[in-house]
Amino acid sequence: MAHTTDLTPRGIFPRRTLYLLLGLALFMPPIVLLLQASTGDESFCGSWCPRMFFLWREGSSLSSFFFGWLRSWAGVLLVLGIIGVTFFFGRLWCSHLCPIGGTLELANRIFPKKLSIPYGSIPAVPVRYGYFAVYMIAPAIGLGSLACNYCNFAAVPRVFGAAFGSPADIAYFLRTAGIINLALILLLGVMARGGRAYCNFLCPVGAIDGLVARFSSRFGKRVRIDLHSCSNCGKCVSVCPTSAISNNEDGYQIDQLSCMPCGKCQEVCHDQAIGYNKQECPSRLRTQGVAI
Amino acid sequence: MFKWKTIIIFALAVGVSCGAASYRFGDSAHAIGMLSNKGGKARHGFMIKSGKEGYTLVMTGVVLPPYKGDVNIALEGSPAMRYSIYDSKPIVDLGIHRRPKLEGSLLSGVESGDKLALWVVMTPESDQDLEGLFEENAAAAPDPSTASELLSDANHEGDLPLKLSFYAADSGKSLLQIPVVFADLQADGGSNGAHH
Repeated sequence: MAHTTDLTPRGIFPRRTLYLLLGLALFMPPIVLLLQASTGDESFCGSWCPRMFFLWREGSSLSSFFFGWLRSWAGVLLVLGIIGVTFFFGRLWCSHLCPIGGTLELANRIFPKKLSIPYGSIPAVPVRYGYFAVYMIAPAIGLGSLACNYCNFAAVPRVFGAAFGSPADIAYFLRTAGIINLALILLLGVMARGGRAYCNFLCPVGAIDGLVARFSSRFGKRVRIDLHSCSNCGKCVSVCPTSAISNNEDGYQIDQLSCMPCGKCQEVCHDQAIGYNKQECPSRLRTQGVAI
Repeated sequence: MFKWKTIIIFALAVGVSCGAASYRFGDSAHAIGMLSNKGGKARHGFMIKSGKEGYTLVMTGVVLPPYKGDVNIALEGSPAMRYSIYDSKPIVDLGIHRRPKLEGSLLSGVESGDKLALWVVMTPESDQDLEGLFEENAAAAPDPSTASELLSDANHEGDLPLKLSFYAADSGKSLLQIPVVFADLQADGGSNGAHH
């Protein structure tokens, strides 16, 4: 039983909702506090864009590529900050502060549970990294781009803006791309069980974050399952919004490519088998990445 | 078995994503431009398709030194379009940063280094059925000073192709012109990097 004392007590993220609301205040209309206070931007489209600077476009020169970094310098810093936090603490940005995923999750909480769409049967990792591969490669080979036409960082804030009557934000939804984005955030966000299917399937920042979380898992704190304490009840599986927990011949395991440390699994674990900690004993605390 | 399932789903995701990446909706486009005293520079034009009920052009750009003053914005050329211009600004402006103010088609208080983000919603002028949509959009704007119904001056420009133009309000000097290209009507119409 000694090993269970190593685990962090349950309810390690009791104030997560407050963090999500803080993320909304910092990044979302009507105030967009952090964006206004820093660069004067009113949305992620501009200096704060976190999704495009790392894309190489067909015909780009090295200077134009890095000019993109300069143009989106706040977005570059944001992504580097996210990666740094993830390296040591897991995907805390995604679970606690991301205003995009946070909005969808908070909206999902007031959406009728019975009407929520379960996406758990769709393996998220191959979908996410299939999409991410095209996201990276398509502009480089001149096929096109997924960057702006399917952008959650553009669409979700504009829902707020449109709700507050901003003409430019209303204009965003008067076109096919806007309507499709609205449908995506409704179907994969607001109406999805747990509210995180968009994050899980289509967010490129989340895809990068997942890779960092997976490959730095041994260095930092992650949500892990103590197999010796686990009674295999499976309750954690049903509450995981990213379907990151699976059962195989070794017992229940958490896929760090998908896990956002939201703590929902920890809350329902009556065995106190789930903790948020460093990988102190690999034989006891199992974590797994799914290779694709 | 699991690996095969993973590979198949990965391949499906790649296929669908390739289709999504390569398909252009044709009713909206983004262009980046730099306004300057020397006539400015557009990184690429707006690439749209003909036959759509309405269009949205998104223009982002920066004002290069030493320009300072007001800027007139106009959609010129053929085909004639009814259009509205909106600027992107915070709903609750904390007043921390100065920003140009859009009134109708006049952008006032522009200074060197300013970043612009403008939305032009346009409908073909000949399409009477679309007036309802246009008026609905204009009515959605709570602040009349930020949007106005405008009509592109096709006669003035003769048969010149459609373009979004920026002029110095005091001198009338051209600061930037961004062509609006109907890709399907162009013999060589194809991808030129426009990503909206």
